Amino acid sequence: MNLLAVEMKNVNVYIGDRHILKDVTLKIFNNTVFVIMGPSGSGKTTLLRVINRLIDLIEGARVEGYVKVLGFDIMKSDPYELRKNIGMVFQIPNPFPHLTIYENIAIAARINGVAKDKKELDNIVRWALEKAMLWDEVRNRLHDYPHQLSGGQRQRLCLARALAMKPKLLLLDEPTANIDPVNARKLEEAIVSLKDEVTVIMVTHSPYQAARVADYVAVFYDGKVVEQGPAQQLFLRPSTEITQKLLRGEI
Amino acid sequence: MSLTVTELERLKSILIHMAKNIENILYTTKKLMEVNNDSEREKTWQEIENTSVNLETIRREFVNEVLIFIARRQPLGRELLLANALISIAYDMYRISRYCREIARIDSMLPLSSKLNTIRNLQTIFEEAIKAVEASLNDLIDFTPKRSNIVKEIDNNIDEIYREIIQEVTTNSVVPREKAVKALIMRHIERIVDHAQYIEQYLSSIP
Amino acid sequence: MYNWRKLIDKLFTYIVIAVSIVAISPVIHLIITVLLNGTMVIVKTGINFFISLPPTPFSKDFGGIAPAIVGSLLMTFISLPITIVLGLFAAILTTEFPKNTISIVIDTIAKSLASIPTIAVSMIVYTIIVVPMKSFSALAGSIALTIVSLPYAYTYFSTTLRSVPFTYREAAFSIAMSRWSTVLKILIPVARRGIATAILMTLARILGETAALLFTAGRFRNGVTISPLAPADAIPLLIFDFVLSPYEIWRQVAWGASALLLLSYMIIFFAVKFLVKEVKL
Repeated sequence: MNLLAVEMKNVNVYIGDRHILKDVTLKIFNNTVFVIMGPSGSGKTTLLRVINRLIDLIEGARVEGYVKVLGFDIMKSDPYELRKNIGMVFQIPNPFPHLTIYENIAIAARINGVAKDKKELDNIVRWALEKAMLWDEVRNRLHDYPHQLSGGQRQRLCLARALAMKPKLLLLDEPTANIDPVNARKLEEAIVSLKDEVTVIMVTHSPYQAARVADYVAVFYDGKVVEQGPAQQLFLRPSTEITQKLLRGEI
Repeated sequence: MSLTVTELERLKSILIHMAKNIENILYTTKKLMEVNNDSEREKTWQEIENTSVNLETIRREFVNEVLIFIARRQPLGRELLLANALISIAYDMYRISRYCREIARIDSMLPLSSKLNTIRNLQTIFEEAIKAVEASLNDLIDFTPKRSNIVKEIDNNIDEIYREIIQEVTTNSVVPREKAVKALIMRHIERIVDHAQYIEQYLSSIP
Repeated sequence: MYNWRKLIDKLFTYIVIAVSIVAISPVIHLIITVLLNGTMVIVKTGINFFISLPPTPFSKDFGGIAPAIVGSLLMTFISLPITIVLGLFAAILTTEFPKNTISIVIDTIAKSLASIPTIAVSMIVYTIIVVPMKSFSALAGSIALTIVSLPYAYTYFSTTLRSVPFTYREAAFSIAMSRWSTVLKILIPVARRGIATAILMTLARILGETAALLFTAGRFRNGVTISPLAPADAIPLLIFDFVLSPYEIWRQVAWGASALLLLSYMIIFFAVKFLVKEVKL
């Protein structure tokens, strides 16, 4: 029905006195990988947290402007209902330490009523782990705890947890920032393979990662959208000097 | 100045060095069309042969260097397009030298009395071609396609002449040797100017 | 030169070890003394120590401290749950809504309550509860204990809850958990070691609190009472009274009671360490 997963018009975000996002206008289409690229401190993380209203948790945060996510005006929606359709993976892997691998995924599936009995739950856990490309490594140790996994595996577990909700939108906040290169590659492959089922919005400060993964790119600098468009166009013929500098690694 | 940009400048300078060689080989080939002295001819063929072989080696090494640059610096945007242009232009320059070599070969196989200098208008036509290549190579040095009009005009003219001569050769059942040789040489000259045109196109593709 | 540095290094290590031993030794001395003297008494009396009444000043038999044990247990059973529940709820409230006015009020009250001398609390409870009731009681003692230990319980719980990394809360919200679901299923379980420790610390405080009971519990040692409205005894009170008394037998009983208290602490401490599994972040 609606082609747009996320639509933002003239969005301004303030945290206390600081003006973090400045007049942001964006369009994100369904079933694409949309990458938000920019140097540290440009507001990318804040942008993600506006989409699933995690910004409500931050003291003194104020959002102005029009934000439509999955067809709903987020300011007029119940944030909990909204979040049931949005999965998120954070920069530092944060699987719940007191739950086993199985339970970490099950808790997400149960909360959203996605699974009704043990059998369905088992299926979802397996599906989520397969999509996150972690199933083969943990199939025999589902009742181990996250601290027994490596950092890269933990991050894939977080991806599985986010997917267990069967969300329509997946938000990734620099997911490979603290991961070794091999696991980072695996994670990127998993992300690209998810395109058919979810819309992926990923934040990164590496233009190379963006080049590997993106269908569309938005370049952020100092809280503003500098340029946005199809990835191919942006990576071969960027139209602004800031983008060019970013691609060269100068900023 | 970032490493990427310094590297690119270095690669560009290698290409420009190749360009000087191309100019030399063109002028040497032109000599075959103006000079009458037979002893000189041998030397000239040898010179053209050697330069051409050298350029091939230089080109191969150059392409390797550009590929290493791409792998190491992982350029995106303008720098990526630039790297592509460098590789392509190197090939165009090499082809120009090859055609000069072909022209020299034809000259070496002709009987003494009927060398290239005997063919009507050939020298003037070749001088036009040299003008086109020089324009494109100057544009390479300036790295901007500002003389592309000149090249385009000469390209059109050469095409016209080429077509005329093909017309003459194809419509008659018997063709005198001079005309046949002219047709063969024209084909090479037409390709030389084409490659000058390609160089201009690559220069235009970079924003 | 190399050897010189090594020497200084070793010297400092030894100094640190020595100072540490000096610091710990009073505690070790205390534990050993109490255990030595006290367990002797308990062993001599056997099971009677726990079920008999305290001896008369000139008897040869040690008797027991049953009233004190029962009284302490009774007052702990009343005040500990109340303190834990109130403290935990308050801590959850201030962690979840730190900028709310109520949270700020709670925080301020906790800090000021903690600085009131316990004997003053005893006197206040005397005026408010004991006088209208016209008698001392276990209830009054429990109330005094609650007031005294509440600020500490709140602070322990608050610190523990705040030490749970913010990222787990974000993760919980990101999978659409409600605020209270997050507290119950994520926050508290992750902090379980700290919460158990907090409960233990509160228990220790309640068990050992003496001044708060001085004017509230009543020191009734002639029989065992289970009614909270009647006067009661407590182990620390007994120790306080008997140690100061001129009678040798009472002083011995006080040693026994101290040992009992100490042993209880140690048992609870190790129980918590082994039973509550640490959550490895």
